Amino acid sequence: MKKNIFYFLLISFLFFSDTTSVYAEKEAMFYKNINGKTIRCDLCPHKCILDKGETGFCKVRLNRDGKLYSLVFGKPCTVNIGPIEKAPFYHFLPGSKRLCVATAGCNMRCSFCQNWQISQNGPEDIRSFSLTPEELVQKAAQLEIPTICYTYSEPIVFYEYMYESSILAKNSGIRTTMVSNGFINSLPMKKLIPYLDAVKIDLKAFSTKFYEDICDAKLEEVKNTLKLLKENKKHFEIVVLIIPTLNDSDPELNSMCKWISVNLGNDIPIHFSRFVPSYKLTSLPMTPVKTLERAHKIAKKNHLKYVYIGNVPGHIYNSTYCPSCGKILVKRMQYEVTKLNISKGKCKFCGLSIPGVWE
Amino acid sequence: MQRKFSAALFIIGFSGMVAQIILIRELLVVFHGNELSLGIIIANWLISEASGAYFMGGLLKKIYKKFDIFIILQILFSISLLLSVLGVRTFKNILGFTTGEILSPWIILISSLFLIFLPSFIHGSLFSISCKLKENNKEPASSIGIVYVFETLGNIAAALCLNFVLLPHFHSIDIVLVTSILITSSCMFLIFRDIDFRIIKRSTKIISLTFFITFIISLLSPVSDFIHKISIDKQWQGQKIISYKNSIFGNIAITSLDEQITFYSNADPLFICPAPDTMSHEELAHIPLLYHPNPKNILVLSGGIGGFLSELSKYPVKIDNAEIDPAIIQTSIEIDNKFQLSPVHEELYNKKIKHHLIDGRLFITKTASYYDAIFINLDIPTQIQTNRLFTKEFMKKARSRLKNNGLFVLTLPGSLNYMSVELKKLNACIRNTLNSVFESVIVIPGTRNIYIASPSNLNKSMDILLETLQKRNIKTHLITPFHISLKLDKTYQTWFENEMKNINVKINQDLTPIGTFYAQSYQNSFFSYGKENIFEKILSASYSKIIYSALLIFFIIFLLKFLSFNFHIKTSLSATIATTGFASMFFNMSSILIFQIYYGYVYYFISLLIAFFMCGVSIGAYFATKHIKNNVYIKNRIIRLQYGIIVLIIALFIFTLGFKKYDNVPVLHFLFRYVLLALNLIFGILQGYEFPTICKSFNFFTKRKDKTAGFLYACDLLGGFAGGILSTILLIPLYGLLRSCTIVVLIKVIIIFLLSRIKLDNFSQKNV
Ligand SMILES: [Zn+2]
Repeated sequence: MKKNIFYFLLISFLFFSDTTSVYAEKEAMFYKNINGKTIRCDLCPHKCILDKGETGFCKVRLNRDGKLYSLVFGKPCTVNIGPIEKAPFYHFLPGSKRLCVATAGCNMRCSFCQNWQISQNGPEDIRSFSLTPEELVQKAAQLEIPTICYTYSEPIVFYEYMYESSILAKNSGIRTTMVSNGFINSLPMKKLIPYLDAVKIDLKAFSTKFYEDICDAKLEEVKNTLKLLKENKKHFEIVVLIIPTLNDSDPELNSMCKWISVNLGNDIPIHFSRFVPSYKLTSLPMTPVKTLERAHKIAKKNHLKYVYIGNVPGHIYNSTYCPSCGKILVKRMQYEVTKLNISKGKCKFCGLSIPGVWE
Repeated sequence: MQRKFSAALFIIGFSGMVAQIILIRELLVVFHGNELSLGIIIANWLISEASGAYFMGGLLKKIYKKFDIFIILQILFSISLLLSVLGVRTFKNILGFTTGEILSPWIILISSLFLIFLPSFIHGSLFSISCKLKENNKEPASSIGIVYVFETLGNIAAALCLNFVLLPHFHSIDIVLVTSILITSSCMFLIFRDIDFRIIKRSTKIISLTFFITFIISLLSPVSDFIHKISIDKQWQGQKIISYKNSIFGNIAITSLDEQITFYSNADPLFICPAPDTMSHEELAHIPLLYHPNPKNILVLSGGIGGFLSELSKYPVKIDNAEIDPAIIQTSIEIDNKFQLSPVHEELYNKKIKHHLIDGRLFITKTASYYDAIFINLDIPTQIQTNRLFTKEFMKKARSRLKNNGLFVLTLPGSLNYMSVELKKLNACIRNTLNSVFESVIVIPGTRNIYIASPSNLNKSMDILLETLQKRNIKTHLITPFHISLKLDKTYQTWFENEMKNINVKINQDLTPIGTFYAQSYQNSFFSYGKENIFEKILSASYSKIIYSALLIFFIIFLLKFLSFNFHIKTSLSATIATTGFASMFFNMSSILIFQIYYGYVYYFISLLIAFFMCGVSIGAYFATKHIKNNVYIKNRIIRLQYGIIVLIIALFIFTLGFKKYDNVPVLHFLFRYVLLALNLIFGILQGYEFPTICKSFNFFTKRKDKTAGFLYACDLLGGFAGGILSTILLIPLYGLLRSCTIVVLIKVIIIFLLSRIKLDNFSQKNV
């Protein structure tokens, strides 16, 4: 029944939304007018300098007459429902659903992007719905979905939309999560953190060269975001997509795990995800499971407690084990939770407190 | 000198053909086996070779040491060919492309030009200098003709040699070295045995001797294998190459990395083991079979080995398996003998599974069995080779081999988040095609859309599907009631249907392979970032617009003729040459694509086709140079040649249509390829005859007679260049064979109209 309602709503977006005007009215946050005409956008480390009429690297922030506007405020191109495990969040309300929201645009250019159709396009190139922050939160409430998840493309580029709707969600008792590449300046991130319940950061690799050559971004800034999340005691999980021959070397994985362990602590869940050929990177094979297991071993050697192997259906490290008694806490089969041995955030067997958001 | 020099010419022809074919094959690995880039590669070869010939033709007057240069150029050619092959294998890495990243069409166009340029430019200049040396030998008139004849003989010999000896047994580096040895030994022969060549410098002698010896040593020692290994390692950077070979269908490479073996076909990963792509195999095998009450006989026509067959063999079934490239099965067996790979080993020796070493499409015309399910496990029909399993004609054949409640299953790229216009069109095209053949078609949306088609109704409630799932109790990692409910959720289906509304596209047919066009256009949207897609733009220039504009031109010319406006004769003649160049490239490319549609192994056939065509050209040129003396008939003869070209294009179409109807007759299946060769030979004769004929006519109207040949050659090549690119990426995939042929015929009709403007007395006046 709920699904039918959702389907009805979805169709009504399609038919009644105004898809032609991309110039939403929303003035952007975090920018500086340099000389009356030129603007510097201070949202992400690209710090694009924009003349009149120019859009930034992300394609969704426009300098119109000396003011910066977000072109995607209240204009998602994708709204759908899925399991929270798909994000992946493994320490966040296991087995629950999320309402996924995405707009056009991204501040990276990864050649293996799985959502390139929306992330690598500007708002004028793809069709979108009209859905205000109020409507978004209302929808989640109507469908009784506990969590709104900003995901697929890059939530940072639709910051204002995410910010306003997550404040509204907080007030209506709906949780919010962000799935992001973490390439954001610290001021906007600090402002956003109180309104988010959990964050997933894609750590693309642990080499500056990879970030520069393949993503058009900088590793250092992503590290800063991770540290910021730690300082603010926000629950977050790290996903590393292991791409064969590009970011799978022992030294790289080792320095990554070491850094996480030293700077973020051992409690941070880390997912090593299997690469599937996509977008422009179709000539590389899927990641060998052996490589993922190697990464798992390295993480464990660095004393990380919650290490997962993702995107390999049926793998034993797809489930959560208690670091103290070793018993299975959450048994998963891909996106399905088949056993749950956590109550009130604690291991049912030994009572160890497990980091995460459990109820 | 006579005989020795002719032998040298023969070897120049031989090496030119080898260079062309080897570079085409190497480039096609880098360009992922796409036949549609063939037009680009061949066009680039032509233009570089022509510029070489032109450049050297201009330079000849100024240089004196022609014999030295002749020798040095041949050695340079050998070296540049080797460098080119190495360049093709490594340029992606050197230029800093991410390993494994596919290239945009512009990069393909430009990089193939750069990579091919040097050897083909040098080869072209060798042609010019050979003609000059032949003239020195006191037979100026027919020198070009004779050079042509020996070169062509070399071409044909190379085509045969490559197909039957070199390509099946040697890798590219070996073949290049063998050719280089042939070239240098013919140089040695000339240097030490030919009187004319005694005048060359000592240093030239030493250089050629050094290279002669170097090439021999490289071939006989492990150096050649070493270079081969280093360069393919670079091509598959970071992975270890276990096996690398060319089948007649394409390239197969096998790599290993962290105990994972990857099978590559034309540089695309085909399957991996021991941990295969469980998710897509399980979804593709088990979900469609829920729609069948009791599957017993299953046919898999591609993507079987490497996990998918293992999933299917969990049922009590008999499975027939054939791949689109039979060499995949053969190579799997060879590799399995060495490494014993799970699940490949189990799949090869499972009693339930029968492997057929035959092209999958041919299998379906030959089999007498009926099936409960036919699976096509391919991702996307970007190539003509794969598109053969997505066309209406093929689906009809598949349907005729299905039992009443049988299933025909295939997959296409999809998305659950957002579908771009290109993705929608690709899906709509194949779905419409399925709908035109099957009564019932359902789609299961995902990152890979699964299409299930059947002659009978496929409507089943979720409860029945879940019940079937539970009853069968097949052990999987993924396919649980939870997963099925998620995957078959009505929300996704409805969303998909809504997205696909109002997408009107044509269906995919053998001779109108528009599926490849949409697949290409989808892949090209990777690079256009939604900015106006050039392919989409071309699409809006509809066929009728082209026909109308042709008719308009026609009308204008007619009107002008009526007003007795005198056309510039030189313009008409050069337009004739250019359009013949266009038509001949179109003809070659059509033959190549037709061959690929019905046989599937064009890389094997292409050298024969080029050789036959070239042979025709030299026969035609030979007769034209010999027979044209009387100028009065020239005009009619040129017009008759145009008629000949029109007739040939129509003949190609009619033969193909006839074959399409009877392609299950074994004799015709055997013979049709020779029909294609014969037609190309005849086309070559017409083009070869036309060029000198028009050159001679053109000379009546120009003062700069020395520039005629060069200018017309340029027209010819530009026409050919346009023909190569347009017919492969646009005309045939988008408009199909019939409409493309009509367009080319119309162009030629306009030319006949133009030519008929040239009055006979024009010729005689100037002649007098
Ligand atoms: Zn415990």
